[in-house]
Amino acid sequence: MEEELIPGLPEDIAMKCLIRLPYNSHHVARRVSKTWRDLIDSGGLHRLRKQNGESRRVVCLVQALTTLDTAVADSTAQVRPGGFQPNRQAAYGVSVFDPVSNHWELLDPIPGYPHGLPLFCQLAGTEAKLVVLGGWDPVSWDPVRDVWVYDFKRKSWRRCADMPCVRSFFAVGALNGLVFVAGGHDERKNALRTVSLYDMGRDEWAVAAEMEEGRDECEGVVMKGSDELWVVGGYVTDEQGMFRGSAEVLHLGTGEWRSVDGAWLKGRCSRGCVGVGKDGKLFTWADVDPSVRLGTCAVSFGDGTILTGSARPGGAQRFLWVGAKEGENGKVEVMDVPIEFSGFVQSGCCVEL
Amino acid sequence: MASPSHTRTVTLKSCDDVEFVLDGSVATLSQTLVSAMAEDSSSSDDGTFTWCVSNITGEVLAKVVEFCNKHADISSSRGEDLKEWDKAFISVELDLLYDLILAADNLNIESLLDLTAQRVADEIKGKMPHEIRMLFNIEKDFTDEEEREIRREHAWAYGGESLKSFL
Repeated sequence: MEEELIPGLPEDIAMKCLIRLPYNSHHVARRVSKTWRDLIDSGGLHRLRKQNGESRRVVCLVQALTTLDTAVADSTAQVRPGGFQPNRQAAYGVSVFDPVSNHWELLDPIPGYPHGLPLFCQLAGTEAKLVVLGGWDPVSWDPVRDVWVYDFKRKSWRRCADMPCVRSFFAVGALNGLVFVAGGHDERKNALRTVSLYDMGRDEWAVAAEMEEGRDECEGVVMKGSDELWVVGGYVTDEQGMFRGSAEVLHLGTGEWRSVDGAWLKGRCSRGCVGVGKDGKLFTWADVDPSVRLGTCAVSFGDGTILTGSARPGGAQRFLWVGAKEGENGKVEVMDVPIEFSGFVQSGCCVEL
Repeated sequence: MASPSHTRTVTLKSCDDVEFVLDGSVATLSQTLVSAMAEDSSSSDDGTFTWCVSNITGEVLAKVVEFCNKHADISSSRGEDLKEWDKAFISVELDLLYDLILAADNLNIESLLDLTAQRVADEIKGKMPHEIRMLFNIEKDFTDEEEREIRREHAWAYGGESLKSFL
């Protein structure tokens, strides 16, 4: 017999209570009883939280790790014994920012990568999970096909089916448990036209229709309203660094591609900085504020956008919060970020929990 | 026919025969009362309406009426003050909290249902599984094997090497 969720309360009322339990308590709640665990593990609680407007969007970032020691050493140019080591390659981790509680946390390292994430790995968020794809081994710099999924309700990583081919600097987009990877380059730095599709529920990869052109260093944007994946900018093999002004658009319902000329700013890198304006037109977040014009990374989360970057090469990372109402013209506020989360941001995504 | 806008006062009667007289505008916080007033044709011409709640005691109904009076009073129902008031109001024992949730559901008072359900969720937050089970009288129905499995997952999730130790 199925046990009651909360003895003494009817099921629908107990559910009204449990959907208000914040995501960061779910990993404990699933150890209370079988009924609680089934509710959480099945994704049922997440669906109800979404339906009732109780879910929360958090920002996940691939970020260079700094400690208090290194940050102090940076700012005072004094090297502490046993602390800051100059010329040491940065190790990357996944940091999570909760815009509602204004809380930052560092996720546990991926089990296979105790010394930091693969460099230039890409992130995608769907079904209350974070997916980490590809990148380069942080020690050997060899490209990896690894896929790791972080389950927030278990607070743990799971290795999933590898990407079917080696792909660096690719576009990524996720919707309803499906993750698309498109473009980038292969082991010999040939720009790729190929597109792979990961089904998280089945832990399987499939091949999707190819794009018209190879696109290295392109950026993926999912347009939820129209069920489209936009692969923006990038360049072909023979035109290294000459970014295209076009985008290719995959309709997720029909699986067909179309080209959109003039969708992007010709000559400008689109990685991490494609914004979608109120009118549906694309813009670059790099132009929104001069203090984040270099190495710009933008992650939108519904109520706003977190914008990171620096004003000059090697300059300090700035963190801005742009209000959602006016999109790129929204109110810009400088964020007060804890020093250990002030490192360079390589890429990011939003996860609804 | 009585309607919320025409009814000047509403008399609520608890299951143990305690009566509370509410202003008509206060009663509109309860969707149950709004519907009942709209359907009722027998109410007296003087604009009074009586409603018996068969499963809510006078003690609980007194709290519900206190809540409705506060929340209907627009001059005091603003921002931080009201939040503070709500916090003090809902600082009750679990038994009374359950009674209030059931009453909020019965009378369909959305703001009270929100407040009470959130309070239950807040009780869960920050507690260990055995503490949650004890508080809510939930039976531990995991088998020994399942319990071990959960503990293994738990150890793996928390016992992993921390990146911070490398820096």
